[in-house]
Amino acid sequence: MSPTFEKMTSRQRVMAALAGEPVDRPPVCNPTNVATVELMDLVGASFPDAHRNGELNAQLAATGYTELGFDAIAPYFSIIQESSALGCDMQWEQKDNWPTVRMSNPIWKSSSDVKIPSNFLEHQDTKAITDSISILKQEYGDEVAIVGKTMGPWTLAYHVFGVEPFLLGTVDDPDETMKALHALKEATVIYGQAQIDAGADVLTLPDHATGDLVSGEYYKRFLLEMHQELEEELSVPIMLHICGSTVDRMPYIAETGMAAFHFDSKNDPVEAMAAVDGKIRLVGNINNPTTLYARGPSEVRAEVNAALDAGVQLIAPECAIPLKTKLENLLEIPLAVEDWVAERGDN
Amino acid sequence: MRSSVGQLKVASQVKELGNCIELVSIDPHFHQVSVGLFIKSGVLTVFSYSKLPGIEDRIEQIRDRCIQLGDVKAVDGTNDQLRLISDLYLDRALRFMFTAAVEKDPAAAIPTGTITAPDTKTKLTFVITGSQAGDKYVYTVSTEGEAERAEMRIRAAVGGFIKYSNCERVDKDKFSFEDGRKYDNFARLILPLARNVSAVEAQLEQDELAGQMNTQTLGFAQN
Repeated sequence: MSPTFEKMTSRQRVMAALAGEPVDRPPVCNPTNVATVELMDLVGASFPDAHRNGELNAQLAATGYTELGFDAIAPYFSIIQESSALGCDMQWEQKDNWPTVRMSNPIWKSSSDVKIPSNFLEHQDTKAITDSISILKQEYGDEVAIVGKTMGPWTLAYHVFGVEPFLLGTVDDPDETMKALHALKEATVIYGQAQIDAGADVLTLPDHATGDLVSGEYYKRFLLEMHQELEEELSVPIMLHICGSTVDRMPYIAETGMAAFHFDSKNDPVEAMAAVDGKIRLVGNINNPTTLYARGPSEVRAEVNAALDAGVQLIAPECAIPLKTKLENLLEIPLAVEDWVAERGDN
Repeated sequence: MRSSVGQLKVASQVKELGNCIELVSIDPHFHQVSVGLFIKSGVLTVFSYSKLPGIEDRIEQIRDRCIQLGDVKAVDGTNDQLRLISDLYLDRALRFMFTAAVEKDPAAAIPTGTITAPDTKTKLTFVITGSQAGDKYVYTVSTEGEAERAEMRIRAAVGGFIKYSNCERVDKDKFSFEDGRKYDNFARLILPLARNVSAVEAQLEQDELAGQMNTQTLGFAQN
């Protein structure tokens, strides 16, 4: 990139960065949620209704761009929309907390139980997101990247089988685990495609083979090939999201062919960049619970600078931000990126 | 729905308000809105992004409750602003003051008179009295009632004031605020917290987890 690079729209910036092309500055992206309780009040669209109503969802999601100045809008705030449509027992919580699946009450026991309902895409909770994407695409489609989200089969397996039964199954009967993952992958593809059809430019694909629960070798054994298939089947750039310490699996993740990996602050950005070795872009990794939630703009700026100095291509919070995050901290992220570029003359 | 990204309303509002000291996600007494306490150049502002009818009256009510609960005073001519009574900035005390002003029943009377609070671990009642001692206003913690560990409980309560108000221990049963001045409202506000730091810390930790998305809150963490 040259200092005289023509100013890009937010959408151009995100799409170029995900394609590994030159950008006028690194985009500030949000593969996951950036809504807060204050933004909910600003637009009159609060959780849990904003998860379940397309219009409210779009109003809240848009604030990531219109108010925070991020380069993307990500309307799927949580991780439970598909699981609700699959019939999981839901706890919707209230404004200041995340909805969850009651995984102690799983709906299925084996791969043979996995059935994607015929009305999967018409269910209120899947449709809320596709409706929202349609609205957002119409309102902002040319200027900002619309980021959809479709949950990977590993996360869906936690929800429908329960975390413990599913993980025990990976030890007791790995073939059955693979069958279950393949069956659930259909939901990932169907919902991802529906969001592409609605206007999503990019998809986030969270699949919680997290550092604290499974090893890098597990990722390779159960998920690498499946993620490669998902990348081929879904026609937009995909940002894979896995929480926790994931450096041990980053070399495998780099082989998925996906556009980017959304990584956690538990990973040092320099080490992460070395682990992926230029084979996949990185998105992240501003710390949520300490920096964005409890510290101030100067600490946020320092983390943005550290990520940019390491060469991280898209700057973002590490995961869905805490709902009480101070707005001053979120506003600091794009400002810090602008200043970093201005100080260096290029990126 | 559309608003121009070139005019970030929130950014200009944040600039005007200053830094957020405390944010209460849900006001249980006014339509579940969020309310924040902000500080800029020594002026505290109570603010909500909600535009619901009646929000201004509720903000004023919270502001006025803060004046009763803490050692702060109203900024003349405003219905949402406060000023500290001195240069001493007590972050934790201000946060507790604001949270109590939002969450406690606005119709409930705020205690006056002798500063007391029942102990949560014994049948004792803590009593705090204050007096000028040289250039410092010193608070003394005593107890009423019978219990074996009274002295230990008093020391613990003084420790709580050190933790939550940056107070200085003057003696095993005495403390003063950092600048040696009198802050009776903060002493009354902090006493119920100072008496049981471990429980308060556990509650604060739990409050902080609410709204955080991580493998633990999602139920993906190992127990």
